[in-house]
Amino acid sequence: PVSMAAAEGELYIDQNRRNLMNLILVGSAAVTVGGLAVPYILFFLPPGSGGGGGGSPAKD
Amino acid sequence: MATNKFFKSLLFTLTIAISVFGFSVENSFAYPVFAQQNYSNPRAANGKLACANCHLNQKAIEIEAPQGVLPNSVFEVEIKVPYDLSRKQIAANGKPAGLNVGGILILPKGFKLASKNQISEEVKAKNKGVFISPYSTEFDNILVVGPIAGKKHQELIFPVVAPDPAKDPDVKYLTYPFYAGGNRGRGQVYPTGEKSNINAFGATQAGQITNITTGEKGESQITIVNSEGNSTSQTLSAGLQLLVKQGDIVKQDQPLNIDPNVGGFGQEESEIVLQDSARILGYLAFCFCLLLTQIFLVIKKKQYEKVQAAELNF
Repeated sequence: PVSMAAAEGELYIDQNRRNLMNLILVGSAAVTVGGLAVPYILFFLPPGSGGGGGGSPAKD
Repeated sequence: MATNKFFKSLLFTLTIAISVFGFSVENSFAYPVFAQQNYSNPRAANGKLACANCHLNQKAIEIEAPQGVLPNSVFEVEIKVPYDLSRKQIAANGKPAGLNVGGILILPKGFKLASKNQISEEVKAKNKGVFISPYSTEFDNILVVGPIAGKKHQELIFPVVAPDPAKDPDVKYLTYPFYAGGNRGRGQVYPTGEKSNINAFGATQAGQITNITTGEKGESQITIVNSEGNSTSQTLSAGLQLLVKQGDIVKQDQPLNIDPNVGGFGQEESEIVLQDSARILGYLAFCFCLLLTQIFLVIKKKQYEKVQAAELNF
């Protein structure tokens, strides 16, 4: 059809452009989801016992 | 330190002497000092502040404080103690006198009164002549002020410095409650347990009032005779307006005078967030990422709509 040809002539979005947009979207979504997921996972790691010198050994 | 203590005790003794014996004309004070002497912790388990034990009338106060503060920052907590400035109360000698105000601020542990060099000039000017002190050495997070002239100070401004969780391991970044109390006017009960003259005095027994005489200082002596002929007499201090007249029949504890109390105590509580600036930064960064993702999602949709429109295949 004529109208379709005109639309194609104006701007046809090829597969490369679509893949590029997909990458940008997945990248930004990964940062956002990571922002939620990383603290969520860290919550389940028990807090460090402070370390320091550890207990001092008993001397007899 | 020793001299400071000496002056404090001197001040205490003087205040008590003045109030109990009624030497002073300007005896129209609210006394945080009385609470400091008689209650190690001014807040009871049910949340009632000790002031309400003697300041029996209730009048509202307002708190104005920041919603959140950063560690180590200096901020102001304002207690508003409004009252009708045109009204007068009676002093201990029965003469009309202006009202004074006082306040107490119970902050979370770790919060302290700001030192002099931390307070801004503006607040210093407003607080000129106002002496704010910690409640005791044990509770330096509880601040008291007063008595100060209510005419000039309807607002009590407490400069406070926030603690730093990095330096003090007992302090955490949390939302903390804090409590405030404010009073205007004289109290109804002395620490000794005696009533002040700001009270409605009841008849000591049921019976007929046979005689009312007025003394030279203005105090009135009321004699009541009951049905069995027993006579009691009670003295009402000067300045009180009598409700009864000679010949009246009264019941026991029926008030003989109009309650002269125009002041009152009020308490209020609020919350303050001790905020970590890193949390806010992280949150803003996350919001920015979220915004970007949403924008990209919509752009992707628009892009694919064009493909769908071109291919007419959906």
